[in-house]
Amino acid sequence: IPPPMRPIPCKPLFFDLAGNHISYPMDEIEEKAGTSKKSPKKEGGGITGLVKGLWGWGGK
Amino acid sequence: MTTPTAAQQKKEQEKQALYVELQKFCQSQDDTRAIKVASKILHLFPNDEVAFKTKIVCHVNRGMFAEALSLINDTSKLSGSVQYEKAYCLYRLQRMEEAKSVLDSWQSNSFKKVELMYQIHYRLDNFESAYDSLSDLLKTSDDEMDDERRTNLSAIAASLKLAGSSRRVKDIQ
Repeated sequence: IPPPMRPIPCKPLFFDLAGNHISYPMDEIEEKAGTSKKSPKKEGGGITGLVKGLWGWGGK
Repeated sequence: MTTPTAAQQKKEQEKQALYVELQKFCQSQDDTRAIKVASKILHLFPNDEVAFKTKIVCHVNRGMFAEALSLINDTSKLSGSVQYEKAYCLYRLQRMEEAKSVLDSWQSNSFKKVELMYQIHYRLDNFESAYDSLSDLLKTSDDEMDDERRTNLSAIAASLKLAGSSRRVKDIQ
């Protein structure tokens, strides 16, 4: 016959939250791809600057 | 005289095109293809830190912790920027003491360092240290994971009790 049931401590639930802090370096990737949405550091004048910013030619 | 410059320029253009591809695969979380592109960049530019870090993150995402760790260990010149990732891989490979010493020697006071450290302390049965670190973290943390952090704090508090600690724990809201 099975022994009587008794309560035992169970392993408490514990989340791995440290893994959430690992992510692609998206900002650097975008910068190197020339698709960075951040405005270029040097302010280009007028429409030329806008076009440069749009196509990423002004980067670096 | 113009030949090396032209070749250089071509190489740079090639790199930028590869980065456009890498961005696309990262956005769609296609880690297998992202690894291939990052490797191509590293083949052209062996010192490219961003491609290296991306490659490591992709391996971690795929659960390939041993592979990520050997990549980091084999590439010491680029390993400085992936110390957190190195410690995390060791943590997932159940190599807690090594994970702790990597984090200890990592010059950073970042939030994520404390987050991984209390998890390591918990796995090492250092419940007192784990409790203190996480309590401190909860004072400053403010993101969507705070409920999970409170769950972790109660797990640590329960383990403290089970280990016979007389430490008084605060109510967890």
